[in-house]
Amino acid sequence: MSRTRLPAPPPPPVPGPDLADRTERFARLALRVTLAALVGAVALLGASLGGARPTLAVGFEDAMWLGVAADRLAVLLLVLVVGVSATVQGYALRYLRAEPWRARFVGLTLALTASSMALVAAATPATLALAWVVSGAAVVGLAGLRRDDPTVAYDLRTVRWGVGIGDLSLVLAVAAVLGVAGSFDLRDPGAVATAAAALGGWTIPVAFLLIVAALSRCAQLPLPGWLPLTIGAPTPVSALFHAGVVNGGGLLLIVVAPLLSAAAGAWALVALAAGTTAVWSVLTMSVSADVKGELARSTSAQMGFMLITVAAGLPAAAVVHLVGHGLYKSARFLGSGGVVHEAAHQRALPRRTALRSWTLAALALVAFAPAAVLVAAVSTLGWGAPEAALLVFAWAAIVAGTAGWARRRDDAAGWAWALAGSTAAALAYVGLVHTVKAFLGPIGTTTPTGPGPWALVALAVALVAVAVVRHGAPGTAGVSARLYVWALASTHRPGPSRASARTRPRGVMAVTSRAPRAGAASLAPAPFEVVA
Amino acid sequence: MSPTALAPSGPPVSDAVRARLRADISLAARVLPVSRPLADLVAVNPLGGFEDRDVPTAVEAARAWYGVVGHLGEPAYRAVYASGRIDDTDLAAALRRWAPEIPWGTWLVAPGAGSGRGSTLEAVILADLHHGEVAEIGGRTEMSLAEAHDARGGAEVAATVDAHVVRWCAAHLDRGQASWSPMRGEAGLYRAWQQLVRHDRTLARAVRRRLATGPQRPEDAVLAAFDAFGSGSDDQLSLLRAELTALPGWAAHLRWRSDVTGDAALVDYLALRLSLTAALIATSSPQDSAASVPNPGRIDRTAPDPATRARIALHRLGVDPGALDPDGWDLLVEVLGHIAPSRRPWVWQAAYEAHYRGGLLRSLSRSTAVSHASDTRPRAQVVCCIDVRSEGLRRHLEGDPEIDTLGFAGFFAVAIGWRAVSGGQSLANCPALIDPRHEVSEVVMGSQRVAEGNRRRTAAWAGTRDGVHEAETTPGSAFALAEAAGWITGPVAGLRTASPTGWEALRRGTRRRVAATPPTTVDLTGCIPPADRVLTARAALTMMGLTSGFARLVVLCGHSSDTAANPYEASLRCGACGGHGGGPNARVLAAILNDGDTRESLRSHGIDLPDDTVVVAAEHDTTSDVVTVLDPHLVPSTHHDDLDRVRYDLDRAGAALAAERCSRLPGAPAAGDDAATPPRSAVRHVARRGADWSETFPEWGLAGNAAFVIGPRSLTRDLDLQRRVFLHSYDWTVDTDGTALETILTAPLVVAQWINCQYWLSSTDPDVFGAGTKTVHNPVGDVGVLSGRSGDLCLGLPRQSVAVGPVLVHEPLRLMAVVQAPLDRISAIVDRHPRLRDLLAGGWVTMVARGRPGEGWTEWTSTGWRDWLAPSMVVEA
Repeated sequence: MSRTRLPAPPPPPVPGPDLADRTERFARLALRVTLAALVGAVALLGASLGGARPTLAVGFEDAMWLGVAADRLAVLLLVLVVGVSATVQGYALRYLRAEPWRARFVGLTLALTASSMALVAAATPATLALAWVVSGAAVVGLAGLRRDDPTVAYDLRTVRWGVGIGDLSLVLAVAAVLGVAGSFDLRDPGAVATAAAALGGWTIPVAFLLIVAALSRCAQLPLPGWLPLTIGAPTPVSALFHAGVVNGGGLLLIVVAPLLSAAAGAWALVALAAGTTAVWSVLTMSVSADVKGELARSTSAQMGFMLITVAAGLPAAAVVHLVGHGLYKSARFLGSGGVVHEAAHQRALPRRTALRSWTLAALALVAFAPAAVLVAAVSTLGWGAPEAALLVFAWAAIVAGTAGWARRRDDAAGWAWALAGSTAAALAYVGLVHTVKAFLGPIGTTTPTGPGPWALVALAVALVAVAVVRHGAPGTAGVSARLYVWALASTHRPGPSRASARTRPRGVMAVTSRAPRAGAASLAPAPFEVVA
Repeated sequence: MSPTALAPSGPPVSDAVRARLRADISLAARVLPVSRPLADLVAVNPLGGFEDRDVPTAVEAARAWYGVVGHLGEPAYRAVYASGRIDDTDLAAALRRWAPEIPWGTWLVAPGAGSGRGSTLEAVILADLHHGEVAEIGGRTEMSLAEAHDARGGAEVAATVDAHVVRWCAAHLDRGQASWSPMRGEAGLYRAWQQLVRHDRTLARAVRRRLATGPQRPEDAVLAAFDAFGSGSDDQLSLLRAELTALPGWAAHLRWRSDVTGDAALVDYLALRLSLTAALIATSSPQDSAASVPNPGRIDRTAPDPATRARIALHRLGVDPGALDPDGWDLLVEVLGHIAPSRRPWVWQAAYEAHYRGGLLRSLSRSTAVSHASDTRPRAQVVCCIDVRSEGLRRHLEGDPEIDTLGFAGFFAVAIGWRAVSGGQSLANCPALIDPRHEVSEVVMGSQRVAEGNRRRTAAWAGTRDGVHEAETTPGSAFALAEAAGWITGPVAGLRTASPTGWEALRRGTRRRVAATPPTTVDLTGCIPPADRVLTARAALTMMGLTSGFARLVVLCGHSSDTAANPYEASLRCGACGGHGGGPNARVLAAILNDGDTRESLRSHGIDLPDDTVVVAAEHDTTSDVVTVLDPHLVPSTHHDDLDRVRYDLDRAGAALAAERCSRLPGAPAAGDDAATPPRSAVRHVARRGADWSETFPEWGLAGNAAFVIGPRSLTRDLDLQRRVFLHSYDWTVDTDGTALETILTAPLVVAQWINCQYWLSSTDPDVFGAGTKTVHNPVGDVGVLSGRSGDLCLGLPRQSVAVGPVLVHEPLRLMAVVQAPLDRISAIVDRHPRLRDLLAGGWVTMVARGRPGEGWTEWTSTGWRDWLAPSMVVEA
């Protein structure tokens, strides 16, 4: 039996795909271009395994002025930059549907991707400076996508300053280098060292400017913390920033390492600033209750750690960190909306058991296995003291993970799994670092005249102290309270005053309460979009 | 340090004064909405504290605190008019409903008289509605002490106070996001804060000293701050309200926490806020009173007077004002004076609603379907939630005439605390209006060994995630974790983006292989006493009007929604189940109705469930439109064929519904095109929407909701109601004493009204009672969402729940309840329940009823039943 349906009142019209159709096409085209670039980057990766090092250069007279070179470091970072950009653009295709500033997002993302690609492959100082400045401008543009929001507009001033100071420093440094030493191949440590020697008395000021540029891009102290202020930007923008942009500082220091090594105290300065940032950001991150704030502060800490690794003379390890962290953090941002689901999921599970003393003893026993693997790796792979200091952090992660597991599976089988899992994790970690190191080959060959492994040791000690204070060890209550309040006070900075916030038009939607301005003709066309 | 900077050491405060303050605070807090955690989000009326007034008055009262508008702008209404969704007959009907005594049809200028054209009173009013100058709507005028200080031109304090308060509220209210939070669970926020704030170096030394030496009890701190400003106790209530509504989102959540979980208190919040304000103001530089700025919420421009408006409107009509006789002119000016420009939008709103309601009631009157339950036994009866989305599923299921459907509140009358088999805490699966009556656990079927194996597998799955989380949050270990984990999560992020469904299949497949859950069931023994089972079963069956003619298979179909990376997931789930899925409740009622002893007792009450009737639970995922039969292992083999057929029917209906929805989902294959998407590709598409972590429009939820029909399905069975109508099955002939109707009108109707108000105000006031765009959301654990890096917790629904870009998809129409039941029975119920009466009298809900099919519709008014004034009748009159 077929029934005839009576008409009921029709639903309101829904905008079809033709709404902002051109933006949609633009976004799809941009994604296609980026995917093509990804294919190219992967092809370059394959080619570099065969020893190829394609370059592209524009020169005047006999010196190369603008140029890019795809050495192994560059292709690895290219895959990261383009891969993250493609993922973010694919995500934004649906996520940002119907946002009024979507076209600007697509254009600026393309600009940021292209300039980041040029940055990671820059083969001359001028290319580096140009790509750096363009990407800095794109960062400010993306951070200000929603600048009609008074808080975003207010924060944008700090972002502009925090990023701009680095841009200015790098431009000055590059101008000085070009003026004194002329252009040279940036990817050749020998050439960089020669240029550094040519700088003479200029070495120290140039090194200082380069350090300021790197610290600025990595959002390190004592420069203004621009990174946590950009979380007013939409989620895909944050993913781009935290996966790609902040890495610029690390790359810069790796590339100009010979120059910094020629300047007395340069590496110590990097280690000091980065170490302070790492410890401080770990503190502020752990007091943040908002997900994106926590992630943003964690990035500053991670970048501090990465810069310390560079200062300790471990550029390859720093690259492992750059790539791994970039991929990790972009995924965390893209999935940040899932924390509510996660909280509900946790609620549906039994309470975790506390770590009792015998659990801790078992944990200490199990922790020997990964430690043994790591020690064996150091001796068999011929790693030095800095690497050994670095592995302490890996071991800490494995032990912390095992502790998390043990609070769920405190039974014999659970401990067996913990033993197997932690050993496997240590092996996998060593394998990962070894593979990337082997792939990169020697980079930043000049041994830095820096603090070496001691920077990492000092960081580890400081973090242990933080952990002890955080857990309220006896006698630390006063310090703990002070630290907590200091860290908390750095979150949720005041926004603009309410009086200025009030000036924005009421009602985000045109359809709602946009009352005409005083004095405007009342018969003006309605600011309401009707979809036919 | 100046003497004024010292903490005021006023006279000791008596307990009576403190008690009065506490009472005032709870009274003042009624202006706040109730803001539950996101994982348990259910719709509420944000203006719930104003429901004792009629809607325009309530909105105007709330405007002083919130700057709420409450309706669309007049340009928007005029555009709706231009699109044909309001017409002149609707406006005429709205005017007549508003003031039946005014002679709207009076000729002010008779046609043919003089040189110009004639005009009625109504025509001039309509001209004013169409062309009158739009009124400016004021903002928040009641200011907190800090805002008032800023407005007087003092150094800026409000932004500092807000940021400080947000910081400490986030630390205090967070339930597990921050890994270091000594403030979490701290009962006395004020005391704890007072101990710590002395270390806050963002505050001047004088401020810190003053705060540290301030009163120890929060009540005393509030009173001391009021004293410092010389504000008397008579305006205490409005001062408290102004403070509470300065950051309404945080305050609203605090209100819920203090009322429900008890781990926070508004008095602590106010003490913190006010003592900081007082300290900042006392230590700031003397004010420059000359630089005072006007109250930003106040409107300075005066609207044109009625006479001017009359002249403009007449000019628009081409009528010479001089042609009116003095009486006509006076009448016109007087009526225009009643319809001030600021009130004019409410006429538009009434007309907007009249248009939809008129159409709906016409359709309902024409519907001639007869219940065929009597002549043939249906193959299956499917009971769905009253949710507007169920209407679509039911309509498509009934494409097969052998299937009957019913509508019932989705918690199926079992108010339970539900403990899932994974073994966590119990969740309240019942409407927010009531508390769980029984604790029910899901248990593994089979031996102890099976249960233990399941427990271990669940723990292993959870332990892996916990291990990663532990490594992420331990100082130092996070560095290595991120660099190692990224090589896996990065490619996974690419896969999740490129193929959300592929990722979802992989994830589920892995979970199934590694930690599959064995078949489970609900254990009634020990949870629900037999007497309660009978009571529940009887109440449920009577309320839905299903007491005889049972099919072989009765499917109780709850609903839920699974969406990825969506903080507002719970807003798409069942509001009657506390923002959770309705599956557990369906399983419990099914278990009760299949229970032999319960059936025996039901027979003695005249409800005879035949032995060959099996009750099955199911759950409808409203995002993917997949209906899953729950506990299929409990269905006896005699009914396997029936179950297979019903499953087929559910799949078919789900696919058809998905295809129908695709025409209205942005980004769907045939969005905006009424040419339906082929069901198969529609099913694939909606599955993608649920699994996609980048989808900000997973589904439309209850957008479009506008009416609530209480009556037998025969009233609506012929109609395509576009998923805009709540449907509650009700047969007054079965409900002998009227208790079922009383429950429906006081519980499901109220829940529907909350939902309706939530969608309405999220649409008209996206900045105040809406959560802004999802793309910048920053969750604070499961407590709430910040828009951007800081600020107030968002209230209401995100923009993507009600609009696509600048275009509203939800039409903000207030709820109309349509009841088929004897009028005197309805009146008696309304008179017994003052809250219900307030809702109806205030226009929050309009109730229209008729005793039996064929009768005309009548509307409930506070002065008695009145014939429904349909717009078409106005024209004929």
